[in-house]
Amino acid sequence: MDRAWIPEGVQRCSAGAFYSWMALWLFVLGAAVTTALLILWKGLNQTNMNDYFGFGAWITADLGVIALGAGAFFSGFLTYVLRIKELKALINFAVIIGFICYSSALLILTLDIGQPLRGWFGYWFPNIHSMLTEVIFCITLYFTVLTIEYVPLILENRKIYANPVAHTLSHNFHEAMAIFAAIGTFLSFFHQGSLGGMYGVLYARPFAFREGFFVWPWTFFLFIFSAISVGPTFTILITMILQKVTKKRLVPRESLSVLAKIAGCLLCGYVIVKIADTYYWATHILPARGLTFAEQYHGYQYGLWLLFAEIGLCGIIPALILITRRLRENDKWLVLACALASIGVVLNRFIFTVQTLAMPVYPFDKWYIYFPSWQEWVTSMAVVAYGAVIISLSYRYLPVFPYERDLNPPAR
Amino acid sequence: MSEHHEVASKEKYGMVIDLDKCTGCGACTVSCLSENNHYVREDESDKLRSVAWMKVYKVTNGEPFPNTKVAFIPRPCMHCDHHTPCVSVCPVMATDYNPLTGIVSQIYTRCIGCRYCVGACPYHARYFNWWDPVWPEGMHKLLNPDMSPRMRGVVEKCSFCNHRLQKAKDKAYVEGRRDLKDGEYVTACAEACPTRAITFGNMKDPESAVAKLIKSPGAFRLLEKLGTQPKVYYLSNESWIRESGDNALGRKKTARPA
Amino acid sequence: MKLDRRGFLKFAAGGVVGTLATPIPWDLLDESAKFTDLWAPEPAKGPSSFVHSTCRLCPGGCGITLRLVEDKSGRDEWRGWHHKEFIQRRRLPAVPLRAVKIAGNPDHPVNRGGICPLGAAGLQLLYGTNRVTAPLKRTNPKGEGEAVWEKITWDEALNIVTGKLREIREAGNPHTVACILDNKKGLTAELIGRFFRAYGSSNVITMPSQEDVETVGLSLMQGTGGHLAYDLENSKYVLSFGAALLEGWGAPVHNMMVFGKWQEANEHTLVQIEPNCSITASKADKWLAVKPGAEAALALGMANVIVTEGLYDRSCIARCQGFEGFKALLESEYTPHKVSEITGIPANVIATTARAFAVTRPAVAVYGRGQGVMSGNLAEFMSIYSLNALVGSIGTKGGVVVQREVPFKAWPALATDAVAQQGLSQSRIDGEGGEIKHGVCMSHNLTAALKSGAVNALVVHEANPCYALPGAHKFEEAVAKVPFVLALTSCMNETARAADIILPVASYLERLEDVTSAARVPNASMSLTRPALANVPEARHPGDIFLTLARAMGGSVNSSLPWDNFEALLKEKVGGIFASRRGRIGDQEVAMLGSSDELWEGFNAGKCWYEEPVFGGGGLTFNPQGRTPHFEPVSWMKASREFPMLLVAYENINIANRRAVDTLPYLTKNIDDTVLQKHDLLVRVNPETAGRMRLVEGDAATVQCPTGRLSVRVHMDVGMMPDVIGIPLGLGHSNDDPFLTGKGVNAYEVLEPVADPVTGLAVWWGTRAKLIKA
Repeated sequence: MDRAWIPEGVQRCSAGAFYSWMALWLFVLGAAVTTALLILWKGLNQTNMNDYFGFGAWITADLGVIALGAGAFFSGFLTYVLRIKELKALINFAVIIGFICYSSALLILTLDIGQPLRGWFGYWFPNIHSMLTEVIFCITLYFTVLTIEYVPLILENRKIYANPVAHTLSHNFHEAMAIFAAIGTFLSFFHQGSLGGMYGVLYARPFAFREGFFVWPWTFFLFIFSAISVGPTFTILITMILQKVTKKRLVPRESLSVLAKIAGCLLCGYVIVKIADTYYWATHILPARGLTFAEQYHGYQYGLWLLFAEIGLCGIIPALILITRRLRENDKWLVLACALASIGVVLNRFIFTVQTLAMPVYPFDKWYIYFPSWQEWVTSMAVVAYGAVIISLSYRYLPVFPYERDLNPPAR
Repeated sequence: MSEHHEVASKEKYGMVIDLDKCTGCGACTVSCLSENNHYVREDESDKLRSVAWMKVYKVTNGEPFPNTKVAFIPRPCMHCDHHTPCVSVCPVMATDYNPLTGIVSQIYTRCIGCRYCVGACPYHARYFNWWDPVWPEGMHKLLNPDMSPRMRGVVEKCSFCNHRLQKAKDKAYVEGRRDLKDGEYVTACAEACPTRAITFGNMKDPESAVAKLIKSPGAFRLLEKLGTQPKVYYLSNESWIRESGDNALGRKKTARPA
Repeated sequence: MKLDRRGFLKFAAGGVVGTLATPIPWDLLDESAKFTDLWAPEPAKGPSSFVHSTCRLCPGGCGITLRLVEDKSGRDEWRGWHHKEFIQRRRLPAVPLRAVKIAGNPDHPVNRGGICPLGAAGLQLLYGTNRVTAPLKRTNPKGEGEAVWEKITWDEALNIVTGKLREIREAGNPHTVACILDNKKGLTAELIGRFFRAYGSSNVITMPSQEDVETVGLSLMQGTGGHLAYDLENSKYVLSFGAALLEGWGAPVHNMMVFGKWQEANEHTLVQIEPNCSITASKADKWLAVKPGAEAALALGMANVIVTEGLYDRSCIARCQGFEGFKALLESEYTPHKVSEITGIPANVIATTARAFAVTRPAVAVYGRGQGVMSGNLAEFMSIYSLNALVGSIGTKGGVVVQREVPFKAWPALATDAVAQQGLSQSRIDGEGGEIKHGVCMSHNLTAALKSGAVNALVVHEANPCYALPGAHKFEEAVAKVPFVLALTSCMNETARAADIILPVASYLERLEDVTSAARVPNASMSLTRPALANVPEARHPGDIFLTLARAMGGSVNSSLPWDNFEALLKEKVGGIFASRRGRIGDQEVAMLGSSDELWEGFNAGKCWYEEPVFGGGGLTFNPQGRTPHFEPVSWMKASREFPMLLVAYENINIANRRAVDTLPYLTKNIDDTVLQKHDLLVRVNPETAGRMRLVEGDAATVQCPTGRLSVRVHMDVGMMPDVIGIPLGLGHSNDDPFLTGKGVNAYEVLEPVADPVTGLAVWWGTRAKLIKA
């Protein structure tokens, strides 16, 4: 039925199976769009956010997907700038994941602001002192870069490519890809950092506040570090999942191993720096504000287990797995490590978002619990459905994996 | 952000609240609600979404019966003087520190409702407008013409009744004066307070009541260790009340929410 | 046309640049921003004016300043036939006005610019959603579901009312008409009382108040009438027996102003005696957590110390009678040790407090419980009040004084015809007292009287007994049995809902009325509420309503009330103040004024007349009619196995509990989430007690009382006495007000009073209870 649109020489499931699969995700997406319209119509009272939790599930989701989407720029950087050729097999897919992450982040951000119709004020009345301004500009620009990186891939669709305009465009884009990758890297470094900076500059919120270097608090660098360490693991994770779902090897194992090794080394470095940062925060920053480390954790929801889960379970363990050759060569261990690392970075963003706000700064105040409303859950979870739709379409119709044909020779 | 634009101004407005006088009656809150055109929802028991620029916190000394004591801490916006936490974070410059008066303002028609400032403020003085402002049939008549109600989706906060400063200045100008007399410009909360616990005025005028009161031995500010330099001072002769104003290492937290 | 690559790119780029060069995208952005600006209403602007008036929302009588703005938005509403007449009658400015702010009046001697939350929210009463906007007639029979109302004209309404009153009078039963008022202070209440006496009924009954027992006590011990006041401002040692001095007792703002001055001067001591940690107890220099109801015993224990140690004021005691007997009683029955057992206060604390109280002059003992609606028995009042004689504070500066009457011109003699005389000779439906006959109203007897069929018509004027009479639900049932019920009210409330006819009454911001002497303040004073605007043009002054009714009744009723309107009566009455040459108005001596008109103008400019109290050493009789002060426990103080706990009512300054006004929306914002959560009221319980019941913060529970049960939640409060449950008064309304209806439960329903056998007056402040986890 849609055979003409499918890349040459690859096996794809039947159109019926594909559209049934898509219908499932589109249904979820439709529910999310309806929910989003409800929120836009009725306002943010539809969420469980309040004046203590001004940020909640959405900001956590935003920061999470942006960190996970860092695989795109970092793989691009490794591929085009450092010229690590093994990663060519992955780079298209990394870009798609990045595109999904960033576009969904922008959509959620639009939903998250109280006045979506004034969203453009961010560009029109920028406050250069605000980390959020940096975030708004960098994310928008980098999203543009990702789009530019994604478009040629779309143009390479068999049917579209037949059009001479598309053909030429695609060709020209490809030539400039290294430049875009470099620009993307620069922009990404900044906004990953400024997202961290957003919290580190909150000097009146002792849970988040960090000193720093020049105008950037240490969280600026920690966020970059964590994003470049974990972003690639997420790319690996999604690739492995796709291979599992399609029951095919799409990327040479060697490519995944190279990326995993790089990620593992970075993650080791990050974990060390994060521990040092936590130690300095607990022993210097908090006491200077009359607070103790123990006071920063409370009950089950905000217990110290979060710290151990984040740094230990989802930091040290995946780092060790990834730098151990024997383990990262094993698919199961690799998936486990990548999943833990990805969970860890989301957990880190959650802690910085929610626990920062939950920690009572007044000595006479108490810990409040925030739990997202169903509207927040549905719209946040829609990212998964949105990702599944984009990945499914891309995989089916675009030549995402250059080595797929070689790795899966026709049965004939 | 006063370090950036410290200017030769003769005015810096501040407030002193005597907690030993405060009985927590809430007249300040109601007066503020009325002055600043706040709507009321049928259910206001979710205090984390109930907008009250002047919120009265209740604290206890934590002692068991019959040695229990409660005290009240009315909390307007602190109008932080040093690197005002909310001002620097706003991405659209919707909030501003006025170097001439020291007042931190909020431009409701500029705010995009990102709530970054809500997170930046340790005093919980900033409120997001979760709902459309609605008044029951006929009740819109009590709206103060000097103050715009805020639309849904923006952040709002205490302005030290900035519109009253404009009025006082206009009046002084008509009378050929440049400077305001102490007490000529006061906030609605200070005006209402039945125990006269709230004093408001120009801290740079050495003769003003606030300038004298902030030198009292029992004067303190909330969360002073954070370095925000609030322009709202508190007075109390009771050490447990003063201690409840800031975190202190190793101290058992005496004051708890009541 | 064939589009090549270059052409396409040019077209695309040109298109983008071209669109950006047009104003379209920019205008769209701009318009979207402007659109969002419209999401909030913009109040109509206009020139401001200010009116000085007086607050009537509680007995405090604060001076207020009302800010008015020209109301351009509402001009259409004013184009009615009534408009011109209305302006002429009330001398309103021709431009419609709206009121935007109530602030305290700095020139008013009662509050000096301060204001309480209720007063500051007064505009929400004026513009309230449940204002009665026209006379209403019930169209379905009572007791058959929710009332269905029909708007009728004033003429129709007054015809129905006069017809009914005339019918009853002509049948020779004028005494079967009863009237319920909030209180008897002020000319309107006096006028209503006069109306009913001329009509032939003495059944004008007020809602319960602490002043009832004080009136009886004062007349017994001092042989005087009038309102008891305390010179707190000049007192150096204040011993408060549960009076919520800082939470709405007496004149709330005045007291808080005085408290502010105390804190500055640092030479006053406040000792608060009450079971639980109230705000007053916290703010006091010392809090004595006495067992509920044992206040009298504590007072007598202190008296014992003062008397046995000879610390009492000998000159004052010389002016008193019955001291020896009192002394003997104290020495035998109320030693600190015995009292310690009753009260739970250590004997040494009783002694040291008593000594400090006795040696610090002036000192005063304040009788009270909460804001002043709940009441104990006569023996309790006498025990506490006696302390004032021991420290020589009867009628002295810094002590207790009886407020002087405002020297209004006296009422002319009442004209009564034979029917009226016949009616007045009948005994009052609420009885005349217990062992002692005193004539003070005993509203708790009304339920039985209404049930017995002794009342053919009930008039309720600005009161809400169906909600706020202790044992409210039983009274509500009884009201349903009365053939004709008339309610005069400005807002819909539970009692109005039970009426046959509702007459809309102008609110205090819409009518001219006297407000005399703030409660518990030693100065006599008078200032006016002034008709600053009319939000409900149909609403009328209650005085005018009764004058109209009197004219319609004709005969001696009319000749007893000959004034054209209330304003004429008020002006005539004010003539008496001028004639007395007493006091000052504003900063002017009345004696220096040229004419009564000048005084009248002063009042109409919002000035306050006030007079310093006359101090002089007084005394009292400790054992009037052989009754000595003593401790007499109330029945519910005794623990029982079935009801191991004690339910005690408390009042909150942000929950209006003053019968005629309900909690206004701004105040609902001030109610703590430890008091009300959505629709649930939270009772206060000591964590230890709650723990024994396996209850944690916020748990749903049932308060089971001998008189009924209430569904609540639990708030753990370390300041509560163990085994005591604290419940706020003023919640649990069903009055159509969306801000109040269905929120919490009404504590009045279970707080049924018992009669003090000596006076017959209601004693009510608590009941036995059991807390059950729901």
